Amino acid sequence: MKDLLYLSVNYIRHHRVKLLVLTLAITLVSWLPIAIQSIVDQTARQLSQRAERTPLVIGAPGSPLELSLGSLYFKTKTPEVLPYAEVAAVRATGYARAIPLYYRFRVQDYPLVGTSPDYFDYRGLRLSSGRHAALLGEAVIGAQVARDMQLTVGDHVISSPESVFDLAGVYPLKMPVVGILAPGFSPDDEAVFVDIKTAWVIQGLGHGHQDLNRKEALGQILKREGDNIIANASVRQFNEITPDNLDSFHFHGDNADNPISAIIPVPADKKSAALLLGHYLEERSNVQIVRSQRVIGELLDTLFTVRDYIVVGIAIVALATATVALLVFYLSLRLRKGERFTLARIGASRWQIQALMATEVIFVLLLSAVLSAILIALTRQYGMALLQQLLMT
Amino acid sequence: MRTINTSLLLGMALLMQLTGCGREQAQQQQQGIAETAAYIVAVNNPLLYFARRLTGDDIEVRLLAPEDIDPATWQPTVADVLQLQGAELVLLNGAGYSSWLDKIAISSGKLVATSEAVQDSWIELSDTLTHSHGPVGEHAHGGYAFTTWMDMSLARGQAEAVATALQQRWPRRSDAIAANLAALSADIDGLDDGYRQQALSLAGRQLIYSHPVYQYFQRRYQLPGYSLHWEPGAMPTEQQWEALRQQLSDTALFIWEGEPAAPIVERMASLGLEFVVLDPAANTSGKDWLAVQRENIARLSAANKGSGL
Amino acid sequence: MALVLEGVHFAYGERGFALSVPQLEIRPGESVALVGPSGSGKTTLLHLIAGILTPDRGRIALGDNDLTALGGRARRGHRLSRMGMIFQSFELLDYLDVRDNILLQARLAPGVAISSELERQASTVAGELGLADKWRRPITALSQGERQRVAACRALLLDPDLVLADEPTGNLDPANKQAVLDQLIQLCKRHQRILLTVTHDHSLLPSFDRVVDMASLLTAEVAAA
Repeated sequence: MKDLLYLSVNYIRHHRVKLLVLTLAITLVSWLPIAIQSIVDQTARQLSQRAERTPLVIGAPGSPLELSLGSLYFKTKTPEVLPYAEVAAVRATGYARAIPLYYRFRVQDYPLVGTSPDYFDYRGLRLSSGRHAALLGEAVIGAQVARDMQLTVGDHVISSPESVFDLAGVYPLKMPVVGILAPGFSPDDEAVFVDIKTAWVIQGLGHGHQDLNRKEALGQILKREGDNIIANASVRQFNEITPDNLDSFHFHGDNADNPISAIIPVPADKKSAALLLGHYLEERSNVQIVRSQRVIGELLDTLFTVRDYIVVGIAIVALATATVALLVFYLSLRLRKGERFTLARIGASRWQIQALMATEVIFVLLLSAVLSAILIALTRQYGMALLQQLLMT
Repeated sequence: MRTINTSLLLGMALLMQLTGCGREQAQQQQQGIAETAAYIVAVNNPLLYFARRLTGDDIEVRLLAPEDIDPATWQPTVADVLQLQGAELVLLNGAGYSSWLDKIAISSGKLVATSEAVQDSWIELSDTLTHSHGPVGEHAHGGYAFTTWMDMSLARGQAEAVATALQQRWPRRSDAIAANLAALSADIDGLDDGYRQQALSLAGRQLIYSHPVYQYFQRRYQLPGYSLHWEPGAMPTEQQWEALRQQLSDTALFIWEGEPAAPIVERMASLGLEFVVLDPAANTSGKDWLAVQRENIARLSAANKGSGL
Repeated sequence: MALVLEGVHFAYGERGFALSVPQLEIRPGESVALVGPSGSGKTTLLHLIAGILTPDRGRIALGDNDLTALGGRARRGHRLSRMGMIFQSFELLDYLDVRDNILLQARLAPGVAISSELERQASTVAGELGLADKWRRPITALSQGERQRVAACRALLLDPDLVLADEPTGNLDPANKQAVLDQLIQLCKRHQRILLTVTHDHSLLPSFDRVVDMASLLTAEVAAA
């Protein structure tokens, strides 16, 4: 037996390229359908978990899917906006607390989410270091952001301009990182959180600048009409909010008119949720309320259908691969006819010869199975994280 | 064979590194922080007093501004903001009080704008500076007079607003709060009557106010006058004294926010100028807000009686 | 140990081919060339002696062992441990190197362990056949002559009583032919082994102790009958 194994190992080593290619092909086609299934299932679970925890979302009229994806996962390109006054309107119904979200801007590839401190309680997000944002311009970042950008408390993040050609006043704002969230394996890991007002500052709705009544500003004043000072555009706008210039930051107009992307209503109980839903469905036409589970459920149905198509496709490929593998084994046995003849003439038993021939097949199938099992285990454990990493970079 | 094994191990190690081992950390973090006792933050002394009266001291009510700082000019530190974020309710005065609100992160659901219901009664300040630059256009940094609670009818409205917010937050204490509100309202009404009575005696006198913080008081009790920017602890300049002297009539009564320093008192005596302290009690001073207001009325009464007019 | 065939008869049923050897005896250390035209049954006779084929009747004995009395498994075992086989096409496994090809028969033989002693023997045999520096070379890197020497080493390693060679020089160039054959004969003689070689090449016949013509074997049978 030992000697047969020795011979087999030599055979396999001699034909390693052929056998490895065959092994990898079989590994891939046996792993892929299970991996896809596993990742789709995990995605579905994550998506639906978040939707379950946030059953209602309020936003501007438009695509319910866009609103759900935006408010739950911050994944949207051009969110519609609704006025901040709607937050008070939700609260005024008496059915729910209301958490504003404004996810229009980005820090590099990470969504910048303007919200209120309620959000962290609502999501049960804990800090792994630092503290929550307290002052205008402070940022709290998700665990993934911290890891990828290698940021610690005290570092800064800079908001990205919406586009290179955006000259209308979305200034990059440099924000100190005051806290880092513990990983929650959710989209919150990949977001940069600021107070909603900080997001408005980024949009140019609030700003800080030199005091125009001070001497240094004289050069920038175009004219003075009574109490009204008209200055040129070179008045230094601060691109970072510091304790020194915090006082100079101010908002123009009423905050109630400022934009937000969505509101997460937090009803006290199921009855309040139902009443809120009814209220918005029946009495409000300029805002929409969305049942996230339903929307995400529809998305998942599509996802499952796509997955099924892919799996069927792969099953066909697997069948083809199995056929090719059979052919390879058959041809290989044909090629080894001389070897079998030699062995028989020297005096090898039929069993010895068959065992020697079988080891090739057994080796390939066994190695494929082991590799496939390892890959499947790794996919189950790390597939999602890896996929997200790949999608992000 | 050996090369295959090695590359497999390398691949696995890489995967481990990429994905990290964060799961355990996350679970550790999930074990929450011990729940701290609920508390309320009030932004000034009158609201602090109202809340304490209404809750019957069942719930801690805090005023974050130190005693020696006017809550109107106080700015919160980061630690203060974190306290504000942790509060169940933050009782705001409204009318532009607490301008720091726009500069901190706070959930708007906690905020109670106590004078919002009487927003129509807010007095707009005239000396507003507007400016324009860049794409935004003209904008004003103006505002309202904010010492609303010196009009006792507005103070009562604010107390009612505080009561409503407390009842919404703690519905089970609703009845107790309502009973407390009745008592508190009666006390405030008493102050209103007191001020009104004294105002009758003051009618016709020239009133000079040390600071422009009496707009609501003046309107409510029909006691017009003009305001200086004098601090009770800082000796005014000669020019300021001279300007004052030229304005003075025989009936003049100077109204101080706080007890003036001895040299000022002497100087006033030399001018034959009567004065009375009318403390808005924006901050605590060891006494509660109601007591200070009662003392104000007593001092006005004394001034009225003592006056030879 | 002498090889003795008595009244051996073998027939391929369908083709109507039949072979009868009334009497053949080869002494230990004797080298015998088996000649005859194609189709005369030389290879068949070799296979009968090796035990690959079983005669319909008659007796084949190597010393005291009556091979025709053994069962299939015992015969295979006997072949592996007591006989060496050399073929025209070398019959080497190209996924094994020189050493492992030489050791192949030993690996398959029952009751033989690949000991360092055996390896030393193998290397000695390889040295005797001029393969000392090719020990771990892949088979595909060897010349035809070298390959046949490897096959010879494999056949000789377990010190067989009988070496059966089927056209062992058929694929070799003239210079190699004689050299390989001489080495083979010499090694067999030295260890008192019987060498029975099927060959077409008449130029090689003088090297053998005895030449047996298939025709004379059959004649002998006719005479006996």
